[in-house]
Order: sequence, then C-alpha cells, then structure tokens
Amino acid sequence: MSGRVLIRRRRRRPTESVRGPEQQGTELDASTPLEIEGGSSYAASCEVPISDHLHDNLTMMLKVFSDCSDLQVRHLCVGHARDACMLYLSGLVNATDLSEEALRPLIYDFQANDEHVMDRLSPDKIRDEGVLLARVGRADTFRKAIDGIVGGQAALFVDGVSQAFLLSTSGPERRSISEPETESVVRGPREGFTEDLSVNIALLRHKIRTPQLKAHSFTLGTYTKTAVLLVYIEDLADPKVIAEAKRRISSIEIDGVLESGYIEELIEDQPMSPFPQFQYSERPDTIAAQLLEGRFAIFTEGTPFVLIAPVTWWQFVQASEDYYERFFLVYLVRVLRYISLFLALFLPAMYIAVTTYHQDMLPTSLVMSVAAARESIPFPAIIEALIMELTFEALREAGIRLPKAVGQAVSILGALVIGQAAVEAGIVSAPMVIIVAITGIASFTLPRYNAAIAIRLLRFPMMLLAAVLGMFGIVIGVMWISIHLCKLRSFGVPYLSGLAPYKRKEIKDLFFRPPWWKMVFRPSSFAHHNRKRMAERQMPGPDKRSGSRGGAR
Amino acid sequence: MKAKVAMTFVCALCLVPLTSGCWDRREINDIAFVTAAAADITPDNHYRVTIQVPLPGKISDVGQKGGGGGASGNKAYFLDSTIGDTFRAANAKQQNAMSRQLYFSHMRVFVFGEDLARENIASPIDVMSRIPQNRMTTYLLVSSGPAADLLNAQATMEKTPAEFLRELANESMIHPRTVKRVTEALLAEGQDPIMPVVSWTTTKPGDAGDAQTNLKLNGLAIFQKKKMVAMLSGRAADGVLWAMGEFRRPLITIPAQNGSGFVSVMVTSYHVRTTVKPTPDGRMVCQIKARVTGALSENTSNLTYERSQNLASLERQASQAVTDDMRLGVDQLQRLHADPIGICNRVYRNYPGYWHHVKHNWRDEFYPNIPVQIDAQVEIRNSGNATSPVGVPEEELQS
Repeated sequence: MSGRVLIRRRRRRPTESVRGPEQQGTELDASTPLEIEGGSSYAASCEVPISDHLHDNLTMMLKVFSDCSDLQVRHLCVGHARDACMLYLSGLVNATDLSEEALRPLIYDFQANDEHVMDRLSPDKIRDEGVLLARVGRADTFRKAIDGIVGGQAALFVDGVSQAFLLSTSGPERRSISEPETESVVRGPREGFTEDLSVNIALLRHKIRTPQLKAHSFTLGTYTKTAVLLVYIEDLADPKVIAEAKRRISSIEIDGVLESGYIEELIEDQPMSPFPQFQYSERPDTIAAQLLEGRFAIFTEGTPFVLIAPVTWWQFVQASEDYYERFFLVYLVRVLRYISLFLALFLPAMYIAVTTYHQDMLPTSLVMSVAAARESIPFPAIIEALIMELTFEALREAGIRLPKAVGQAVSILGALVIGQAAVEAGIVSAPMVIIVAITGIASFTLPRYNAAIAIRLLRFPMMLLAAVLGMFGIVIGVMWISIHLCKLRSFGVPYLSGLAPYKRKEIKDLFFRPPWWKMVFRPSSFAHHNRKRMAERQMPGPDKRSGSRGGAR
Repeated sequence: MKAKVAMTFVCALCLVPLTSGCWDRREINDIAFVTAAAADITPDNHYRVTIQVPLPGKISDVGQKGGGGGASGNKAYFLDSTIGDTFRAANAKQQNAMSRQLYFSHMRVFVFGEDLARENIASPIDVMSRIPQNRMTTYLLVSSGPAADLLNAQATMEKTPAEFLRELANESMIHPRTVKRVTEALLAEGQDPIMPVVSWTTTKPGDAGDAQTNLKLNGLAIFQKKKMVAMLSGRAADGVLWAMGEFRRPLITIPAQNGSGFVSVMVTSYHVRTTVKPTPDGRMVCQIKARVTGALSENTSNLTYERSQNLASLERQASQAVTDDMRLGVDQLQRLHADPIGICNRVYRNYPGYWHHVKHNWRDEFYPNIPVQIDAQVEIRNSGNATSPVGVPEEELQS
C-alpha cells in the first residue's frame, strides 16, 4: 500500500465523510511524517496478521518499537512448556497487577496439567484459565496489538498462537476527584471530573443509573488516539441530533486532540460567531441535568471539561446551583445576572455615547460632576475608555496565569496604578474608572466563562460604534447582535429558543427559575418527543382534607 | 473566491462609520451648560438675554485633584448678558465670546423680565418649543423688575442662583409652570397662562452679619394670553392658587373665636372641583368646590378643641377663610379679564355650542360676568399630639 496513492486519493475527495475511525487512521498514517523518516514499520505493520512464530512476532514488534526505551519485554514460559513474551510500556500498566494476576497463573498454574499443555493450548484456554484479570482482549493483527500497548495494555504473545492477548490493568495513578475550581457552588455536589475518561463516565453513571444512558465511543487523533464519548439518554435525546453529532465527530481528521476545545471548534455550527455554541462543565451534576433535558455530552479523554450541546443562550446565564437553591433567591439572582449582562456589554459604550453626544440624557447635577471630572483629561472619552478597558483586560489576563503570590502584586499594582494614580495624574477621569470597575464586576457575574468572553469581546465594537455614532451606534450594535443571535443555531436548535421562537410555557425558566413543582415539562427544543419530566400538581402543602393542619397537632 | 468578495465587502462596510467623521461629537468638557436664562426687553425693543453657565471645575468637588478647570474668580458660575434682535441672535453673539459651545438641554429655569412679560412672552416660548435641545420641562418664572438681576443674586443656599430658582419654581405650585403647561394655556381656547413671580430680596440677619441678597416667591403673574396684566400677591394670590387647586402646602391661620389668640390649620390634603353649568335662563354659572382636610397645627388661644363644639366652629371659620380667599382671588381675576383657572375653557369643552355664541368677546363680556359660586369645606381630622394648649391653666380653658 503506497502512501502517495492514498494522498492523491484524499486530495481528489477531500470531503469524503463517514468513515470508521480506524480506517481514517490508516490513511492518515500513510501520509504522515513517519513515511518520510523511512521508519515505516508502524505503517507497514498495520494490517499484517500475527503469525504463530513468537520469534517473528517479537522481531516485528521490536522493530515497530525501536528506540522506545520504556518498552518492557518480559520473556516467560507458559506452564514451563511454551515460550511466551509480554510487552508493555512501563508506567502505563500496573506491574504488581500484571505479575500477580497474569504472570503467576501463566507460569505456575498451567504446570498442573502440563502434559496437555502442548496439545490443548488454545487461545481460549489461556484467556479463561491463565489470566485472572477482568479485561482481556485479543488482537489478531499487529496493528491492534500495538494500539493496545500504546493504550496502556500489556500484549502477551504466545508461541504457536496467532493472536496476542491484551491485558488491562488498573493503570497508573491519576489526579483524584476534587472540587471543580471553575464552577464552585455553595450548595451542591463537590465532585468534579478528572482527566481520566473512565472515572468521568463512572461519575456520570453514579448520577444516572440506567442502561439508557448511552456512551458511543470514538477515537480521534492519529497520534493521540484520544478516546471520545458521545453520551446521551436514549429516550430523551433527539435521534436526529445524535445522528448529526455522530456524523460531525466521526468526520474529524486531526493528528491530535488534547482538549475538548479541539472538538468544539471542529464541529460547531457557526464557527465565526463570537457566541459559544457549546457549554462546557466539569461538574457531573450539570452534565446529568443537561442530559436529562435531552441534550448530549461529549467526554474527551485527558480533560475534565465535558462539552454539552445543543445549547441555547439562556444556559449561559444559569448556574447549576440555580436548581438547588430555593427559587425565591434564584429569581433575584437571575434578574441580577441579566442586569449585569446588560451592563457588561453596554455600560462603557453608553458612557461614551452619553458624554460625547447625548449630554442631555444625564441629570444636571450628574453632568456637572462628569464635566468637572473630565475638565483636565487630555483624551476624548473613547480613548480614555479604551485605555482603561485594555488595561483592565491586561490585568485580568495577567492575574489568571500568574502564580498566586505574584498575582497579589499585580492586583495591588492595578488598584494603585489604575484606580488612583491615573486619576490623580489626570490621564483618566474618576467616572471612567467607576464605569470600568462596574463593567468588570458585571462581567464576572456571568456563571459561564465562555459566554462572558463573548460579552467581553463585543464590548469593544460596541464602544467604537458608540464613539462614532453615539446612541445610534449602540442601537445598530444591538440590532446586529440580536439578528445574529436569532439566526444562530446549535445542532438545529435556535439559540434564543423560548424567546425567539417564542414559547409561552418555557419563557419562565429563561428569566426566572420557577419552583420545581412548576417545571413539569422539559424544554421542547431538546426532548420534543418525551417532554414530561414529573407528575403534575405537586405543589406541596399540608393535607387540607384531614382535620389536622398537617403533621403535628 | 466568493469568500474573498464577501470579505472585501465586509471590510469596506467596516470603513463606512469612520467616514462619518464623528461630526456631532462634542466632549462633555467642550460644552457650556446653560442652567438658567433670563430675557428682558430693552427700551428700543431688543432682547437682552442673560445666561448663567456653571463652571464645572468650581461647582463640583470632583476633579479638583486633577487640576480643575480654568475657572477663576470666586463665583461658581459665569454670567453673560447680550442684546440681540431675537433670542437666538443674542445667543449667537454670546457664542462668539465663549470658548465652549452653548448647550441648552440643561436649562432648567427661564425668567421673563417684568417689562418683557407685559409686552409679549410668546416669542421666547416659540424658541423653547421649537428647538429640541430646549426642554418642555423648563420652569418659567416672571421677575419683578429686570430678570437679569435675579441670576446674579447670592442665593447662598444653593451653589448657583439657577439651582435656587429651580427649587423655588418647583415649590411654587403643585404643578409648577413649565414651558409645556404655559404653551398649552397659550394655545387653549378660553384659558390664560399664569406664572409665579420671583423677586430679589435681602436677608435680615440683624446686627449679626452682613445682609445677603436672596430670592423669594412673591405672588403670581396674571396674563391675558401672551401679555401680563397684573401681579397678584398676598391673599389674592393665595385665593387664585386655592381656586386652581395649585396651592402647595397651604396653612390656614385664623383668629380664635373668643379673640384670645390664633389657630393654625395645616392642610394635609384637598381637592378642588370646578364646574360650569347653564342656568334655566340661558346663562352660565361656575361652581368651585373645595374639600379640604387638615390638622390643627398651632393653638395660641385658651380654647380646647378636644371633644367640644369648638372644633365644629373652627371648621366653619376655616371654611369661611378659604372661601374668602378664593372669592378675593376670583374677583380679582374677573376684574382683570384673565382666566388662568380655565372657567371659559370648561364652557368651551362642555358646551361648545354655547361657547360658539360667546367666544367673539368672551374676555371682556362673558367672563367677567359669570357668577362664580364658591364653596369650601374644611374638615379637621385631628388636633395634633397635644390635647389642650400648652401653658394655659386648666381653669382658664374653654371647651
């Protein structure tokens, strides 16, 4: 199989869709640098079947793994009679498990009936009697054996058997489950996803205990071979959406997937929109809640962040805690968030528009204060605003990446330099500092970071529009954003679902959070064929028919 | 290719706003905010326009650290007075001598000089309702004497005289006269505008310190459409305000019936209803009914008003006092042939056919001869926290 032929074929048909992940892998392999280096043993080994000569097999494997110093080769004798060899990458397997559960039974336990070892040694027998591990796979090609080894399994080659056994052990230590740092709550579960996919899916299985919770598996990345799971609840998720998601994920061809962000950008509906079309979360309870509303989740090996789609804009203004805390509080908090949203997006723009075009919109005493503060400022309002906003964004960016000890120094510097010195030096006016501070605080109240980024970004074009056209500019900006949001779709679901298209019964969960006994139906945008989530008329209260006023007399 | 065209188009579109060049942009520190203006008329029929511009650097404590503005002198405002053919012509002249652009959106008070008011108030109002920068909510006042002087009073209670005048205007009536209200009255059939009068005064601190110039509300300017015909003050002005239902926080003070002192009734709420009715003999009668609720707020007599007949007679007395005031005011208005209450307007609205017959000479024939029945009823709900007058021995009390 020549790589060049394959390359040409790919060029001719670049949009060739639905393919199995393995097949893609093969094609990409052929066109990747491996070929150029001349060490084509891996690519060449692909579909070669494993022979029953241990020596040939070992030669092949060692050739593929040449210069891989962490490859461990353990020769053994199955039942003191048959030569065998175990290959694994140190660090990826648990050596204790391996020796206790596989080596010991293979070497010693087979001794008991060694007269039959030679004749009756079938692959099934080795697997059934020789190995005590729970997960044992089999590979009949080198390709599968190699993938098993790099995936953290130990491959066992036995002389005379044209198969390799893939032994799975518990694997190396990973980060333990801890509280998610990006989404902390006052009330609610404290566990968060980790980098380990199997732990993550287990965490979800702890929440949703049904075989209807499906986890369709993909392997993405030619080199990284990242395991990706498409998780959904069978009865709730729209089959069309799931089919579309499968199509989009399986059409990804990339050398590596290191974070869910790769997938997000490769399968979103409108890649040029500043608004996020996936929600991500590292909280199993958030993911479970979204799945129960009929959405699907994409788990990616190696990252605690799980993607959720289809999304609507409203999800970004909701936190998981909204549904745990009593609804009165959430009423207030949601209203607060919408106000903050408005402020974060428009406040600097409004300030610029009002101070440079519409001075008549302010009360007289306020306009005097602002005028007095701006009396000695050398810059026009827009420049002043840009200086402050950019400094603030820079400070924020610096604060995120710096170690905590240095971070404190940055915040002191920021508070002093921006808050005080700039005003005293007459470079920026005090009202502008207040505006920037309010804007900053407002943008922090949005519970989803990726939505907050969209707002943060859009603030700048809004400011420029306000500086050029005043209030008209802001109106133009608002119209542009509204039209864009109305047009946006996430896996076919309108982004403003509930408001546009308007759904009278669902609008209550957008701006307020109704009490649980009022949320009988799931949002129609996701689970449209199975909408009822709970029994109706569950508003609690003491039983009025019985004489007592409920419970104790 | 298509994408390239689209991108070019988008880029070109992005440049469009820049070509507008921000012509309307004016920074807040390039504007002279006019907070009060006054108009007088010169003997040779020109307008003398006085404007007051507060100096932001002086008026606000903000920004002092930053070096402040270029304001000098000790006043927190800048005053300029210019003569021109029209109001706007005078403004244009003022603009020539100003480093900042005149800006009228924050003009809260406009004062007519007495002479101008007697001549014609309509043309300055024309400016105010024509240009959107001017607000329909600007308060209108008439000064006794030249209006320019008012803007130069010390009025130390507020930072600028403009602010002082605004608060005064705001306190003058329940619905202070704004450009909107006065314009409405000018345009309405059978109705005349009315404005509060403000005059210059000096405080009397006794020997303790220097007298300061101050401003005070001093009655009402009565108009026949655009010409002022008289200034009423004292009880007649109160009576007009009562009859219009515009009296703000009235206090009725009457002598006690036995002459041993005075009693004050603080009005807590009242309602005035003016109606016109045709009589069987084909004339019109106007009825003004006032229903007043109040509380006893001061009693310097030896009468007690607890559980006694005194309260009923006090109510009668108070009602009579209000009626007298209103009678005085309405009589004056009828004598002046001016109708700020809108009695004729009510005829026009309710009996348009009848109005058609009288409207040709309503001001001089119809209006002065309308019989006005005035009926005020005062109800005193409580006598305050004290039951009997303080400091009067029990044996001297009369109940």
